[in-house]
Amino acid sequence: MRWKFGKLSRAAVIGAALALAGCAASRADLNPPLPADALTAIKVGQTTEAQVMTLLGQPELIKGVDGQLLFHYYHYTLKHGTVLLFSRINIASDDIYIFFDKQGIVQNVIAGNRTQNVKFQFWPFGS
Amino acid sequence: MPAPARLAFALVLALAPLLGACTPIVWTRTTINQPMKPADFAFISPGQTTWREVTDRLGAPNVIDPGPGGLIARYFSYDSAYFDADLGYGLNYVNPILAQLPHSLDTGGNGIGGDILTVVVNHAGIVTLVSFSKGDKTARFDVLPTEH
Repeated sequence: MRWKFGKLSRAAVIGAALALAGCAASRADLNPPLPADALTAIKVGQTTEAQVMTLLGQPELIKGVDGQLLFHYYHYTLKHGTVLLFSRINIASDDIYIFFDKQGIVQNVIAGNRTQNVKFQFWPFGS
Repeated sequence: MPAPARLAFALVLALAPLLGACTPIVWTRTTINQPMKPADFAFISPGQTTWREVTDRLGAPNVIDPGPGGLIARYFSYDSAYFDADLGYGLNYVNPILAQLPHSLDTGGNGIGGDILTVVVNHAGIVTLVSFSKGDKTARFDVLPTEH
């Protein structure tokens, strides 16, 4: 089948191509998003270190804090937009901290979700 | 700068020249996390506020480190403003021979600033110290590298 473009359609295609010629949008992620359903399965006073690793995978960082073992999981999202001369890159992280007592049982879970507020923007000025 | 932010910033800095390579003038702004305002953490009163209250209101910190008999939590945001102008770009259109010779003449600058809220918590889970270091004013678009 042969494509037939009217003058108006051709002008629209050329116009759109020119308008988008200086535009770019991209996204990058560091680590996979943290599964929200797995987080709800973690119960304070019940879940063990091994069970947490089964649910969430290996932590990015393990620390000893205030006599407790601490697992730290994080996920970063980057959203970038460029229009002609202007670029903006927004980055945010989701962090999950899981504290364990000396018996290896979850004592506290702290979770944050900042990546849901990351926007694609291109204008670099202002807040 | 905490390790995850360092890695993210390294990625961004590696990308920045590529993003601006197609045009003779470029303004690029990079932010990591939303900036905090003093009103956001005005509720924290050392000696009274608990660690749970802090995390309930502010969410998970970016970093938790061991502290003296407790822990130290940090919430951070970074802001970077990058400007670059290639003053020799016009020579591309003057002479085809000149266009093949090195002729870029770049000027500009990159300002990076960071805000860090630090909360020190004791063994009983009570906040003992709050500190807010504000440095985002450093992030600005400088036309000349000699500005400041």
